[in-house]
This record gives sequence, C-alpha cells and structure tokens, in this order.
Amino acid sequence: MEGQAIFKALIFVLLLSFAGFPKTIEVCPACPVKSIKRAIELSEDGDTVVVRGGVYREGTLIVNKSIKLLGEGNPVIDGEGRYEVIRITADNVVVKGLTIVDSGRSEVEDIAGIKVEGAKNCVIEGNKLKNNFWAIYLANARNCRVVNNWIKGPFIVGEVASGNGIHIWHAKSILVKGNYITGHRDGIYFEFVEDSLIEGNTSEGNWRYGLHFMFSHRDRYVNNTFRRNGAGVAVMYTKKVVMEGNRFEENWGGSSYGLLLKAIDDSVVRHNVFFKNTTGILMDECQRTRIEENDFVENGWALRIWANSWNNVIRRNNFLGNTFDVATNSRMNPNRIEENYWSYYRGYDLNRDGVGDIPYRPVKLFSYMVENNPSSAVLLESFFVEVLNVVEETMPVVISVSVEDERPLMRRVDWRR
Amino acid sequence: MGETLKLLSTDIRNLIRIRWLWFYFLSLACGSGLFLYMSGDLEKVVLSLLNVTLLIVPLITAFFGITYFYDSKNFIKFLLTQPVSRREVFFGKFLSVSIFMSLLYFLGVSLPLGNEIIRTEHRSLIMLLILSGVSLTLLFSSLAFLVGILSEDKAKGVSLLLGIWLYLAVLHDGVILAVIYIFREYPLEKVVLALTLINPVDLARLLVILNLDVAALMGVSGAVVKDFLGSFLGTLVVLISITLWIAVPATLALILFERKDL
Repeated sequence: MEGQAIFKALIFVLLLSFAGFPKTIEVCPACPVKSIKRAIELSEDGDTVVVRGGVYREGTLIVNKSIKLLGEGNPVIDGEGRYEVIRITADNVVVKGLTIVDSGRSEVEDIAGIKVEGAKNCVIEGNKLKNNFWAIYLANARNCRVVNNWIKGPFIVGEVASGNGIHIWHAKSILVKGNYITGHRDGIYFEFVEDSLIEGNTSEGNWRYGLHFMFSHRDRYVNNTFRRNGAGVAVMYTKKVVMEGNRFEENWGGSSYGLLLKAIDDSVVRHNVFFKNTTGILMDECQRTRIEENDFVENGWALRIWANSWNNVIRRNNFLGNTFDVATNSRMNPNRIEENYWSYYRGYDLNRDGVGDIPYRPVKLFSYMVENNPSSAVLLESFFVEVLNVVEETMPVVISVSVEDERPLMRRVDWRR
Repeated sequence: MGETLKLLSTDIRNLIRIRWLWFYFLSLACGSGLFLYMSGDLEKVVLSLLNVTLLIVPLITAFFGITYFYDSKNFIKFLLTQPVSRREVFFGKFLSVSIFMSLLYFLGVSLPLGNEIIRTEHRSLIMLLILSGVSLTLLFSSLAFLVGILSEDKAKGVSLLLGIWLYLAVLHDGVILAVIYIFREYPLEKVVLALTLINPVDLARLLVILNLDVAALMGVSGAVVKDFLGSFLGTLVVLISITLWIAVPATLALILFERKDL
C-alpha cells in the first residue's frame, strides 16, 4: 500500500515538472545567462530571475510574463538617458532589490524607471531609483504594492523637465508604503486611484507637490511626512479621503500650502501635524469634511477657509503660535468651529470645566482684509493694522461675530494618547 | 567750514552731557539685548526691533531734535552776533544732532547684536534694519529743525511735529487702507505700491519685512513689491525717495534759517 502511494506521488511530481515547475534563472556578468532580456525570454510564468551585482545596459526590459525579478548584490540597470528601463505588462510580477538609473526623458511617451501598464497584483519593493524622468509609473493597475523604494529624481525645475516620483493613474487597491521620494516634480501623484492606501512615506524637496491627488475616492493616507515641497500637498476633487497622522512641514513660500483641499467632500483630516507652513490648510469648495485633533504649529495661516466651503467641522485642534489662526473671506460662518485650543486665547474659565467662558474669534481683521483685497498685504506688520486688529477683536464690526469658537478649550488637546 | 566743525564738536560735547540721551541709548541697547535673549530666533528679534525702529525712534528723534533746537535758540542768537555765517551755525547744530542721534541708534542696536552681525548669515538683514533706522533718524531730525524754524511758538511747533510723526508712522497706513477699501473694484497694485513708497516709514518697513520669512504671508502682492524693489528702477526709487525725504526738509530749514528774522 505504502509503495503505491510513493509511486503515485512520484508520478505527480513528474507531471508537475513537465507542466513547468517554477525554476530560477540567474543573471550575472559571469553566468551562463548574461542578459536580463535573455533570462526573461527563457522564463515562464511563475519563474524567478535573480539578477546578481553588475551594471546592465539592455535598453527597455519588457516583463510580459508573471515572473519575479529579484536583484541581489545591488545590480544596476542603466537606461543610458535614452530608454524606459522596465515595462511590466503581465500580472503577478515582482520587482525587488534593483537599482534603476538614468531613464530617457520624454513628456510625450511618459518614460519611466519602472512602468506598469494594465497589470494586476504587481509588487515593486525595495528598489533604488535614481535620476529617472518618471520613477515608478502605474497605469490601469490593480491590487499592486509599491513598498520601501528609495527614489531620487533629477532635481530639475520645470513643468516638463521632470516627471513624478510615484505616479499612479487609473488604478484600484494600491498600497504605497514606506517609500522615500525627493527631487521629482510631484513626489506621489494619484489620479483616478480608488480604495488605496498611502502609508509611511516621506516626500520632500520635490519642486511642485509632495502629494498630488485627484479624483481618487475612498483612499487613505496615513503617517506620511511631506516636507519642503514647492507647493506642499494638494488633494482635489475627491470624496471620502482619510488623512491621518501625517506631518506637513516647512512648505514655505508665497503660494505654498501644507495641505490644499480643493473640492473635497465627506473626508476626514485627523491627527496630523502642520508645522511652519505658509498656510496650514487651505479649504476651497469643501463640504462635510471633518478637521479634528490636528496640531497647527507656527504656520503663517493655520487655516484659510474660503466662503465656498460649507458644513465642515473644525473641532478639537491645537492652534499654537501661528501668525494668523484662521482667515476667511466670508462674512458668515457656514462651518462649525468648536472646542479647539487657541494659544492666543486670553479668556478665563470661572466654573473650571476646561472650556473658556467667552468665545474666541480666530479671524483677525488683517487676514480678512487680505483675503478680500490681496493688495492690502503690503500693510503686514503695520502698527495701524495691529491697532485695528485689537479694536476689531474687542468690538467686532467688520467680521461677523459668528466666525468664532464658542467653546475654546483652556488646555491643549492631548490626542496623542 | 572750520566754524561748522568747531560748532559741531562743541555741540557734540554738549550732547554727550545730556543724561536723557544716554537713557535712550541704554533703552535701545537693553531692548535689543533682551529681545535677543528672550528669542533665539533672529528673525523675531529683527521684527520686534523693526517695530521700535518705525515708531519709537522717529518719535524720540523728532521730539528731542525740536526741544534741543528751541533750547539752544538763545545761544544761536548770541552766536549770530559774532562773525560766523548763518549757514555754518545751522550746519553745526543740525549735523551735531542728527549725527549724534544716528550714532546712538547705530550703537544701541549693533552692540548687542554685534555677534550676530559678525558671525551669522543674517548680517545683511541687520545692516538693512540699521540703515533704515539711521535714515529715519536723519529724516526726523531734519523735520524737527524745519518745524522748529517755522514755528516760533514752542507748543505749536512740538504739536505740529508730533502730528507729522503720527501721520507718517501710523495714520498713513489708514489712508492706504481706506483707498484699498473705497476703490476695491479697481486694480490697485501699482497705486498701493506708490502710496507705500511715498511714506519713508512704510518704505523702511517693507524693505526689512521683504527680507524676512514672514514676507511669504504677503503672497502675490509681496512678490510684486519684492520684484519691484529688487529691480534697478526700484532701488533707484528707494534711494531717491529716502534722499529727498532727508534733503528737502533740511534744505528748506536752511533757507528759512538764512532769511528769517530770529
């Protein structure tokens, strides 16, 4: 009986190997297979191609089979400033541990270091991408993971001179995690990407946006750091985004924002830190969005809310040492601002319930003026305007009384616990 | 010329003995030191000092200049009985006050910040602040002499001068604001820019602020102003504006002083 079972198993194994048992092909300058292109030709779905250390110049590598492409010993794949380096068109492809440098440059063909086109279940992990036009480019992808890549762009300034670090277009269920991106146009770019997660990335020193995000419903981005990007982070035309635990730092300049929310509905901004941005959050045409338990520290404007934003809730945030807390060009207050901690609040709390007894008016006359007439900005730090601010604070005439926090907190919100 | 120098040196020896001025100098120095001590951020120090420079320094200079002029009127009358020209007497008095006040301001700010001037990259920023302060000192002392010569009556003279200070340091911004508000339907950038550059106090404020990080809060208008001031034309306008503001009152004062029956 036992012998029969062994025999059956043997036949099974034999059958399997005929059907293409997963094999591993090694590529290195001294191996039988010296070219990655040849290795891909030899491979079949499910195989693994291990690329050992060395420099490979082979034009464009087209991965049209479901294989694993693994780098060991830091292999460098060079685009020689002419080619797209890797193009993935098959499902279930893994690209891991490669260093990809110097792709060609073309705004017309969107040349990238790694491009995924119309594929499912891809994994792009632990690669280094240096000086590519676009670094990682996913189009029509589904269920892919872009994890722990280190991306450094060409640091060229100009709309058409450089592409984005991680560019994802028309995709679903994507994970972008633990990447470092610098020197590109936009660090991370999402357009028509749904049900995806952006987590733990650092995007800094990109010349336009750290994160540029459009028409990408139901996404979450969590625990990322966006630092010193030309215009900060822009999240636009999207419903149901969750933005949690991110840091928006040092996006400083005349038209720079920590976070620009343009036409964002039903979203949540929670537990973020906005530090030293010209504008912490600019809300333009937003509705039913909750801004809760964030820290706004030393920004020029912590919050700018334009009159076209309605029914948003700004609650339990800490406003610490911002030049201006809130600016608006609206005479009404169609949003709810309540129970925040304002470091400039000078009220008192007689019944000791932790809530100030007199309301706090976060909009200064000057910021109201500038929102309505940008040219009055030349009066910044003018003594006359400072006096007007104080007068307006004590006896509001111009700014509606309704832009106020009726229940300002006496102590900082400790949301980190 | 020789008489001017002689007068100048006597006058400065006189000025050194005025305790009041040493109080002014010490306040400036202590203030700068205190700002620096309380906030390590030099940008904030400069911003605080800027407010002092734009408000207090002109006020004190103007007030002291005119009282000093009135106080030494008898001495001037006596001097003029001697064989010295009126021009020399005027220059002696005017230069001594304006130079001494500028010196006090310069030392009051630069002594506590000396380390920052020598060691940090904020050098040009502090120099710009000091330059603005010195220009304002010169300007307000020449205004003080003009008003002093114009008005025989002490009370009238002082209140006229305070009025001028109030307008330049404070109310002019109100006028700009009113213009912005009334003509808000029109493109105003250039008008507002012109209105700002007319006033030396606003000019000094903009020059310093545009070199600070807070300039980013001015957004596009800030960029427009900065572009203009950075251009050749802008630099020319600034220089001419400041020179005119100092020279015109001083010259007028000199002409009046030469003709007037004291």
